[in-house]
Amino acid sequence: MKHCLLKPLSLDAWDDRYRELVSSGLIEPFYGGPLSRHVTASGDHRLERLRFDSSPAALRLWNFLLTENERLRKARAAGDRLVGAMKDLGTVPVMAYALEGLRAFYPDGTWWTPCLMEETDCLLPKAEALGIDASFCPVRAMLAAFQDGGHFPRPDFLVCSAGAVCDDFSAIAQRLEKLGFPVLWWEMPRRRAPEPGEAQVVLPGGMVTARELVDCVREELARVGEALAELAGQTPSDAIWNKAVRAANQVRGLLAELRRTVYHAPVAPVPALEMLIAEMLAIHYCSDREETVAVLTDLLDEARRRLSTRIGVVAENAVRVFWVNPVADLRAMNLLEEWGGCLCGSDFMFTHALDPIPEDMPPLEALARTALADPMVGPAADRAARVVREARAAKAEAVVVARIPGASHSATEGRVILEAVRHALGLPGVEVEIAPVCDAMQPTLAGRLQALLETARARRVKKP
Amino acid sequence: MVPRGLFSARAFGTLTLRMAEGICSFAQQSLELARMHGAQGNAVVFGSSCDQMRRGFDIVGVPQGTRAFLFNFPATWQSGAAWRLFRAEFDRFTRFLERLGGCRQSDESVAAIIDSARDTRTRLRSSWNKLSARGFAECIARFHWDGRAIVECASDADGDTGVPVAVVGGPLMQAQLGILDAIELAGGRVAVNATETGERSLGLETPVQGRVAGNIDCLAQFFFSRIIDVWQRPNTRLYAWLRERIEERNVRGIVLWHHVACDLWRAEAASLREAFNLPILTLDSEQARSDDLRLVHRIAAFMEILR
Repeated sequence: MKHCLLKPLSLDAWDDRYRELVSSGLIEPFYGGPLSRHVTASGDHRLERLRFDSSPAALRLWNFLLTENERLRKARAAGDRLVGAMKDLGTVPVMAYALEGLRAFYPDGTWWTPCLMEETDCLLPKAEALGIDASFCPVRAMLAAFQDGGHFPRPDFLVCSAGAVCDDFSAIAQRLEKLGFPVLWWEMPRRRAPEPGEAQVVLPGGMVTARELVDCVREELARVGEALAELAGQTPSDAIWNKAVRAANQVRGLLAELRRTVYHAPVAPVPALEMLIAEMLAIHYCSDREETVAVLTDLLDEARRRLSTRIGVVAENAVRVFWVNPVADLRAMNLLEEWGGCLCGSDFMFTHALDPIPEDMPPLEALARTALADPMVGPAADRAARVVREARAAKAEAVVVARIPGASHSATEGRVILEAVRHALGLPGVEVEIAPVCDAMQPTLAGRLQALLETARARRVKKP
Repeated sequence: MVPRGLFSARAFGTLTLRMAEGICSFAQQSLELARMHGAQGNAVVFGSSCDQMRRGFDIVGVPQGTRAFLFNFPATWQSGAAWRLFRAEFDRFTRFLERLGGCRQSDESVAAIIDSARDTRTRLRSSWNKLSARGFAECIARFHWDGRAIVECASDADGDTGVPVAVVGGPLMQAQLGILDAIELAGGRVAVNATETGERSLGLETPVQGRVAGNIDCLAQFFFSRIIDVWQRPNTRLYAWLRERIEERNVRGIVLWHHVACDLWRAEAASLREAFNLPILTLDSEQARSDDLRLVHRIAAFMEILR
């Protein structure tokens, strides 16, 4: 029996769909409304070029994402203290949300603002005026956003991991501190394999590292925890952090189920773009942990419903692509599907925020192990090994590594990952650089991605 | 730090310029050099001070197995955890050197080595105004090559003439020392060579009463307390070190030198300008040949502004 293909909607079409849904009794959360209002109210013009999933679950997901700054301002007005966590992607917010009255978010997320606003925000030229030019990764937009204060509210407290992090981010965060935004730096050592005879620890995701590195991170997280607790006017304790771990695992569990359902389905029931957004919720719950659970539950229910009724969002013969790194332009995920691909797996740079945090050990030890499993703090070969493992399990037919313009890790990691994929799985792969607004590069992007998809299709024919 | 039986040398001096997309030119050349030394059976040690070198080790060092080592420098330096991490790395590095055939030395010998290193560094530091900019840079390079400091040679510096400038930035290799010549030819005087291969590499001059104890803790502390670099978080130590010299030597302008694709140094231009309220000229390794007319003209114009 063939699958029914559900076409994506343009922003205009979503408005019509929205009216239909409302007239048929759609109940929305407090941040609900038509998607087009984000263009008129916030200048998110890129939405006009994107294609969206048509479900109410996707509507909720998008509205949740696009109202984050507004929700943060309301939280601040209601007395919450805001924590700007930087770089670690998934550890510090777990701790912050366990403390009443704190709300953590990643200012790093501003790297998508130039895309969403199609650079009308001028954050990138403003960052250049502050000394951080186009030779740096688009996360430099964060610097300008801090300075002009017009995007996210200025956090009450800033914390940033340092050490085995990308040079761009480290340099930008240092510049931020020099501009008058004090930062609590904590050490994230480079992950390495233990030497013979050295005490070792297994990390979430299966990697093994030296005990002394976990001890270092645990000690650093205790220091961060004390600072967060002080901000919240509470006393840090294992009981608090245990609660944090359990709550994080609820979100991670939902995401794991969603990824399993979508990526392993014969025909994807949720589009690539919405999956990227959904995965992003893991790192800081888009500033609202309870709502994240609700959003993901809706999306998972929708995916399951579609799977059981044989509804898909891509053609049945779409090429199954494993995607590495987030894209600076969200439109790239649409293009993958428009050109005949579908997402069957991902490593958007924060796989450690998707793995369950161990609950059978002291919480800071568990969080330290999870933080050290960050794909960006260890050798690219470790990351490649996971990509190979997951691409194999998802029956991927091709691998794409998205280069982040100017990012220090992008200079070498793609080659390592794609070589590992070719060697272990014999799959074709390609590295593509995606700018915050990739329209001008679309012909090049099309050439490279379409050639990859074509190659993957040709391999199907050759198989006996 | 090198135990008896081994010889160590910084590989900087032998590097030549080469560009590769997205990779810092220094890191790129370091990798090629590491490959070459690895093929000759030499051990190679990388420092983890930047992402590019860390990732370079994954590509070149890891395949060399037990003859390659990545020293994991903590970026932070104000916490107990950072010190303990450095201390543990120090032990791991010691074990690596022993595996290569080095022999651990007595505490007394180590104390003597520390004393000697301190003396040599002190002597080198004090010679900054006795030599030409190139001469001083070459003396430091020689010190890093074989531990010797030959600064007794007659002064080749032209007194206190010329506009005092600070050259700040990443490693300045032998082939790039022409930049220092160009500054002097344009009427400048390099009053502070704060490149990675310059005076800054000699570390902080911290007064120690009597002889330093020669145990491994002291040796680790000796090095940990002397790191002054752009990659530290916060990198206030670098700024404090610079401020002291910029004020003491009446520096009137800063030349910021960085390798192409080196984010860590490139990002400091605006902060340096704000911190010292001095004019800044930014030079990158793409313009590093001193016979490059554009470079010569840029330096000359900068000196003219400073005059």
